[in-house]
Formats: sequence, structure tokens, C-alpha cells
Amino acid sequence: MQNIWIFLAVCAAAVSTGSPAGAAVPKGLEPLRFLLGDWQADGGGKPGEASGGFTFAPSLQDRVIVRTNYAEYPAAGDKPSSRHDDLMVLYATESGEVRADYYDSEGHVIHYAGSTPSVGELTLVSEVVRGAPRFRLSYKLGADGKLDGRFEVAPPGQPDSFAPYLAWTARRQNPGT
Amino acid sequence: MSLALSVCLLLQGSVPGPSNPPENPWSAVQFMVGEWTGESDGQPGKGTVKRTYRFVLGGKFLHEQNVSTYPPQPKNEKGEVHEHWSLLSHDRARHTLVLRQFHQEGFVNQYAMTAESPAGALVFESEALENVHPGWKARETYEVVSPDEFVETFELASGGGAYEVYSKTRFKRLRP
Repeated sequence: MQNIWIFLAVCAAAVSTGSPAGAAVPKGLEPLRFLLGDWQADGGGKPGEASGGFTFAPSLQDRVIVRTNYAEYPAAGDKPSSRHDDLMVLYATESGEVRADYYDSEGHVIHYAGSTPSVGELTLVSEVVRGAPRFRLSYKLGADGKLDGRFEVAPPGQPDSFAPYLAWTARRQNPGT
Repeated sequence: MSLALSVCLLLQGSVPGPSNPPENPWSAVQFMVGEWTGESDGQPGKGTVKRTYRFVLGGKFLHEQNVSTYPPQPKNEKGEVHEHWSLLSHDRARHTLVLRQFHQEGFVNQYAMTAESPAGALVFESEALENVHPGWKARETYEVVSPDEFVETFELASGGGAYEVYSKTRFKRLRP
């Protein structure tokens, strides 16, 4: 088994060529280029009104895109202020499909499959897990350069009955590399 | 995403009763936290490794960042710099640690820690290898030599065959 890991790497590289010259992301993630950069956001939903920010940046020698995100919820009524942090790694399969793994400060782990319905759009839908809710995370870049996002939840046993949970609008602070 | 969703997901796991105090799920890997330097030998040749482990996201996950540098040598004529990340999570439903690696080559490997690990070692068997041809499996074994030293053995197997060592790396702690 001489240098089998290198062999596997060559196999993987063979299906990810074809990116434009100078591209900083693999072919499967090229449609996500509109997300790169630092963003400031305001929004709200079931957990309350919040402000925060997120960054999409290439990593691992431009093989993946990592989103780091935070949201701050001010005190409201009996609820003290709180902060949410999460990390999401977006990557492409051999066939170019987008996948994403989400980890957050409440301990949740969500595995998503992605699609890009049109230019400037990304929709991530979690796998169906029996007895568990299903999640959908969507981004849409507007003509004004603002990025709308929403997070929806479908109850256990009704995997396609998504209902709004959070929505936000973000403005780019710094362009991505 | 907070209380309501947390409750939904919490219900998937078990809640220990008062007669069954919760164990720290991270105790087995707590020693990894810190900065490490390693010397690696194996199929890609001899190399040096820099690695960090730190808890992230409020201590809910253990995040590994790794850079391995292989200078040009007969086994690896051009040399290479290999990077990977991993995230260790505690799967409450299965009462085990799950290791998910993201490699610069595009591989995404998920392992679960086995209950049958030998004394002084942690063994993670692969559950899914993405962007790798079907039929492969992988195993990561961490032998704890001392609080400041461990040996990682990375093995691969294909087609139902036996594992073969791909690389073995001896790590020594740089900083806690």
C-alpha cells in the first residue's frame, strides 16, 4: 500500500479540477463565493431580537469554507442577556455537492446537504433523523448587496413542514479573499 | 437558536438520575488540550507535525488543528504540507465521542471511539469516509505515554483486508 493516501488525494483532486484560475475555493464551493467576507447582521425570531456577525472564509488550503458566527441577545423580561456562537464547515463531495457540518455553543451538531437554486443563493437542509427535528438554513444575496438569511425548523415526523425560527439581514463589512 | 431547540435535541439523549451521576465525557481526551510537536514516520515519509487541541464553543467541542510537513525525500519526492482539522463531539445518544476530520485533500472522515480500547489507549474506528472510494476504512489510535507525550497511529484498510499502518507520530507537549 505504497503512498495510498497520496493516491487517494490524487483521486480526489482529479474530480475537483476545473476551477477558474486564481480561484480560492474548490469547484463544488465556487457558487458560494458570494458569501465570503465579514458580515454584520440584525434579526430575530423565536429566541428574541438579536444582533451579531459572521465570517465566511476559505481554510485548509482553500479546500473548505468555514463560517464563524455569533449572536447576542439582550436581556428581555425575565431572560438575561445571552450569546450564541457557532462554527460551520462547508465542503464539497467528489460529485460537487455541497455539504456542511454545523457545531454550536449549545452542543448541537447538524449535518446539512446543500443546493444553490440560483446565483447568490444557498439552501442547506439537514438529514432526516427519526424522532428529531429537521433544519433548513438559507441565504439569499439581494441586488442591494444585503444578505438575507433564515433558519427554519420542521417538527419530528414532519420533515418537510418547515416553520420560521430565525431571520436576519446582513451587510458586508469586508470582502472575502 | 436556544432554549426551545435545545430542549428538542436534549430529549434525544438520556438524562442521568441522581443515583447515576454524570461522568465527564471529555475525561479520556482532556490530556490532549494544548500545543504539541510531533515527529512522524510512515508511507508519506518522515515529517514534523504541529498540532493544537482546544475546547471551543463554550467547551462543547474539542477542536484539533494539524499541520504536517514532509520535506522532499525518496518516499515523497516533492514533499508536502498536509493540513487537517477535526472536531470531537460527545454523542449523548451513543454515549461516545465522535471524531470528524476535514482534510485539505477533501476527505471528511468520521470516527467513533470504541468501547474496547486497550488500557492506556484510545481507539477511534471510522464510520464514514467521504470523498474516498468505497470499501476503505480507517482507524486512529492514541497511546498515552505520559501526560505530556502520546503516539498517534493512523491505519487504513481496503476491501475487507487488514489494517496497515499509514503513519505513526510521536507527540510531545509544547504548552498546556
